[in-house]
Amino acid sequence: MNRIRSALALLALVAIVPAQAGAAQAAMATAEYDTLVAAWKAEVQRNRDAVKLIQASAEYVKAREAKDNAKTRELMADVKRPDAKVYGEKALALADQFGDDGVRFLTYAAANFNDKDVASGIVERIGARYVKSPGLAELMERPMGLMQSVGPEKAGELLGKIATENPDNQIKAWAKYWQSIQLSRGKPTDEQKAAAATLLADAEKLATGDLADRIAAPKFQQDNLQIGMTVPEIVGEDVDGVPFKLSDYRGKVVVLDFWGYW
Amino acid sequence: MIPHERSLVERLKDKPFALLGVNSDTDKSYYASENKGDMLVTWRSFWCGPKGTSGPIPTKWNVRGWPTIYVLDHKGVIRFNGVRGEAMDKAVDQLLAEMEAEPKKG
Repeated sequence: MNRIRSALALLALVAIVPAQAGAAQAAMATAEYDTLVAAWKAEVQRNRDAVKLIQASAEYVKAREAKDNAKTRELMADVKRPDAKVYGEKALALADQFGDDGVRFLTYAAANFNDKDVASGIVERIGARYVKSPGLAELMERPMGLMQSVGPEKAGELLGKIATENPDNQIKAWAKYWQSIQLSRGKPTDEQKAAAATLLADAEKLATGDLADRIAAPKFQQDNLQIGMTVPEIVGEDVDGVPFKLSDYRGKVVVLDFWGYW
Repeated sequence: MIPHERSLVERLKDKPFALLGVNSDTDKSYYASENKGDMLVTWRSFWCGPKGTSGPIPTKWNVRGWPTIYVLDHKGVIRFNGVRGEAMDKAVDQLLAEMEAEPKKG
């Protein structure tokens, strides 16, 4: 009886393990991701603080007032920049470790760890493993830094693969959009211009949300944002989360300034 | 830029004038940490959300360069764009003068 019970228990255990392992793996990936992001943010903050400290020093202020660029550069040279390569390689290794859950490490690396070798590593891995992944959504919103690092040939190849093979329409649309942008850069030939126009039209058909707005933006600017036109409404929230709209300020002269501290 | 804008806002605080920002910082805590001293911002901004410069407002408005500046008259008509520093002051003063010169209704 006991033997049967333990055999049953063992069977149950065998059945549960894969599901649990999957969840545990995902939780571990999340923990590793959070650790990586926190460590990088801390590095960036340390760098900002160090820069500010030097900018506030009497020596730096004096050099800047004298427009002595060699001196200001020399003073800044002491600031150790966060090492994108080290962090990028770590992200690549984590992506390899976590398989299907790995795409988020590549997404973060693409946005934050600007390094040529890291960029090739990211593009290689996406091409090999994640072309069909729904996890590419975020990366595909802003892939241009990455694409520039690896050059137009590799970038075009990867975007083409994603556009063809990814089942998600919005991801397809982004891939086609970036292909069209890439083809329009510099001095495109007539053939390239035509290909770019086709890709953009394809993207427009598939796109929703932000991408649809982005594709429509040049025309929106042309039709609504020229001198002499009544300004379009903006409905939003301020930095404290309080809702307001641009037309609340009708009756006043308004300077509208798109800015950021970054 | 910010110190100049702050002095403009201060000089026109009793006039029908508003400086409105469209802020593209992705991280509000970073905004809070920077918003002091010489970089203190005393005016209101729309927040572009966590996507920052790729957020919905700048995307729709096709904003490619930062800062991008529009100056609107009191009727909400776009009258200038890209004016900075003294040119911004002049533009605002001109529009305020126009507004004051308009015959009052009623």
